[in-house]
Amino acid sequence: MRASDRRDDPIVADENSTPFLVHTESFDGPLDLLLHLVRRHEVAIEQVPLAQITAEYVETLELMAELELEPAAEFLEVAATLMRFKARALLPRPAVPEDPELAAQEEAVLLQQLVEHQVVRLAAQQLRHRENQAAAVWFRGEVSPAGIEATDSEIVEADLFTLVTAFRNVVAGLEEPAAFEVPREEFSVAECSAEIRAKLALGVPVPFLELFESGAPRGKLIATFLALLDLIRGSMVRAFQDGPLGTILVFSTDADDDVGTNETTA
Amino acid sequence: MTESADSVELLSTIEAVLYAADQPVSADRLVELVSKACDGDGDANLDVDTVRSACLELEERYRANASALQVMEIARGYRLGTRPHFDAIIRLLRQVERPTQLSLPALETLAVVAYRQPTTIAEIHSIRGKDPGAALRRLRDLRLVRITGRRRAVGRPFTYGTTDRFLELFGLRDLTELPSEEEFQELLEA
Repeated sequence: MRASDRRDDPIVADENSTPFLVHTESFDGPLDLLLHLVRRHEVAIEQVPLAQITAEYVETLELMAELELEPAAEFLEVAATLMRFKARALLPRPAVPEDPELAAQEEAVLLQQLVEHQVVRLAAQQLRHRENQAAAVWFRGEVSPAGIEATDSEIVEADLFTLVTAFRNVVAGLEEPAAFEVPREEFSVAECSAEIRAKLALGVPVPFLELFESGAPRGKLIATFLALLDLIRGSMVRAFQDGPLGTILVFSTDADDDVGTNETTA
Repeated sequence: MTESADSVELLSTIEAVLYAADQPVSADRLVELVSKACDGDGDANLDVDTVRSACLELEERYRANASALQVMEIARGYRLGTRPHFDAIIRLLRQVERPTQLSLPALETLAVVAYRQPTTIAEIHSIRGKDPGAALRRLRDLRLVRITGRRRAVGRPFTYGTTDRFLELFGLRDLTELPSEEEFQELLEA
């Protein structure tokens, strides 16, 4: 998993080829990633296979780095903590004597943080439910109901890590680059963005995997993924997931009105 | 008979106020308004409890008549709104799409503020595991969160709390209507 080996398909953002960066600030934090990985194992937080989670966590960070998603320093902090736990588990006698109580305490703190974070997520779900209920109630003379005015805010129903993990599966199946020289191709995020929008133009949700052309070069897949993230960030596209392990569906929020209206009346 | 006529009159008066108001009206304010309006003709000893039960009674009647309206308790006051069942047709009338929802990171930050208020950026950071600056700015722009003061601690950090608009947006009477953290813990352990 060396990110540098895979840089053979350059990605071009647009004509002036400025680097294409998606800032993760508006997405989620390291605890979300950890929880996401824990949930995939379908075990209680206390029974998490820490070594395996650590490997998956680091792999995801590597993939994010490769995608230039700029994982924030906080991600690396948690990675370092996880690695320390793992090292402790592997080494029967630590080179530097450690206070075992302190070590256990450190693990307990992280687990407690995870549990607390899970409570926050439940509370947020409850608020979402309330928000939706309240939005269905109208008051006299109200033009836009209690709801939030439409803005360019980010809406990520399927969170960033769900998407990154799904994308990991897309690229995981790829064969290593062949030994012979392949003609270099360049892929533009803008073009991929247009392709995605064309696929979603009918207003019908499209499964995440179908956005990726099978057999396409890695660079093309990456450019497509970055284009998707950018569309989600710009609220032009929304991604939903059907349960923690469910299919991710992607649809356009501004599909041509004349096409979309038939369904909304249902 | 006069007593029940009075109580019918009270219901109608409250109904008129709630209809005309463009925000929730507290029970105290209702007492004040009704007392001023019928200045002179009797019922000087109208109290908050009478107004509260009148509001309940009004809602009871709406329900019994299968009315499209409901009397709701929001942000420590009463408000007249339509029932959710009629959401679709009102959206057609007003020609508005479903409202934009808060993003998940913003919603989670809001949840932390709602449960831990008054709270500081450092506390939110430690619970969320990431810098809440951007989410907090957005929540403040939307007037869902406000600065409530400063903590007596090193650096005198600002403390944050939720606003009445938060209660309105989420249809809450007050903060006690939020499920307790213990309930969530039990849910997790189940």
